[in-house]
Amino acid sequence: MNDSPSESEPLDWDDVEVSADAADRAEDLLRDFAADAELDMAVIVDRSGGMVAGVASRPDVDVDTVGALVAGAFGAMRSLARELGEAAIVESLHHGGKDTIYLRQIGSRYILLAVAELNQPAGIVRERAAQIAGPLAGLLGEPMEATGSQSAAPTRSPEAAPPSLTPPPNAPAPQSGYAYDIG
Amino acid sequence: MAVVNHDTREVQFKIVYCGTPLGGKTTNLIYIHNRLAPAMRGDLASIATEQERTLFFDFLPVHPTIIAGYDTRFQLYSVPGQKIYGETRRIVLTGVDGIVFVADSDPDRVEANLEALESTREALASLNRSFDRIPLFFQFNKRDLPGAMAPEEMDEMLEVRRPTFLASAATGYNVFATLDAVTQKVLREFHIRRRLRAQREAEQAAVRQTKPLTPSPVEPSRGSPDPSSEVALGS
Repeated sequence: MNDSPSESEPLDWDDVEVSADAADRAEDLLRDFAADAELDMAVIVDRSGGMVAGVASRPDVDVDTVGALVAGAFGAMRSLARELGEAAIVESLHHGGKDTIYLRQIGSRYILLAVAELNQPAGIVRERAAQIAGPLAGLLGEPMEATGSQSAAPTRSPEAAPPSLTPPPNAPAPQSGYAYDIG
Repeated sequence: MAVVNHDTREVQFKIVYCGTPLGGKTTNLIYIHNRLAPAMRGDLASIATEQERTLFFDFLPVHPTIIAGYDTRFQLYSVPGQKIYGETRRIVLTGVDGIVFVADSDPDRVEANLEALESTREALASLNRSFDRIPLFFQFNKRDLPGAMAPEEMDEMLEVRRPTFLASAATGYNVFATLDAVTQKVLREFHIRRRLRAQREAEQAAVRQTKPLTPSPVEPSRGSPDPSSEVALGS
């Protein structure tokens, strides 16, 4: 029979819990990332396809479907990499007719999606993504990642404190157009 | 596993329809999509072959209700049934909260049913998930077929020891009954997990409070833990 977990058994999986504070701070990071890299969309999805946080300037996008497809696409790419003898997959980049779609693993449980117009250099997207990957992982309770040679920019060491989430006084104001929060 | 977002006050659950190739998994989702009010569901997305057979997954978000102030959303997936899509099944089953196994009642599909069931077990095992513990319901589909196998025969064939639904996805018979059952079970399990977690955290807090800040000379070493300080639930 299909038994429920009881007090005598350990739980065999954990739910993903995102506190209001962590979600707010993740959204701040994503908003800055989107402004810095001139993105149309920046979202965090968990590996099962659930949307965690995000910002977008495309209010017509069905975020549930985006979450499912991101998890599926990244899972498929990971399987392809494994099939070809690659032990890990950290990033994936798609150049389309008008958009660049960038995926990056965050810790072991999350995936970052960034969408930029095709004329935006992909290197900038990768570099900015590498900069926020560690702080995002930390916020979501994941070990700070060390992505090694595959990073476009050096990531922070596990011992390094995450950067301040408030911009410095002389930082440019966040770009308008990312007021639409997802998740 | 559920995704709980306390900021947006949403809880997301993942339910996957597995089963026999051409057994009616996608038909279940199409029926649900067609019958739900647009306000309660999103678009039905499908990654299919040109012959409209599921290649990767079908996906339907359903957000039927608010529980304890949280918007409860169910994400319904179906996966291809063919054996060669084992890796695809594994990807889609990642983080699954509940499963509907759709079996074909056609007597000619016995082997296909058994193979699909074994593939589902294998995919769950590769994700370190227990087939016996996950909320799972069997749906014996195509009951409207002349010569459909007797339910008892199907129980025996699939070694079913769980609730089953006799259904016809094409006509909608028992499609929502199956969905209701699996969603209720998923919610019950979720509440049990939360209660156990709260209990575990309370016990850990109590242990922390009662422990002296500096070790006393008689405190047991790490090699022989004090049984009174152990946390229950195997955590």
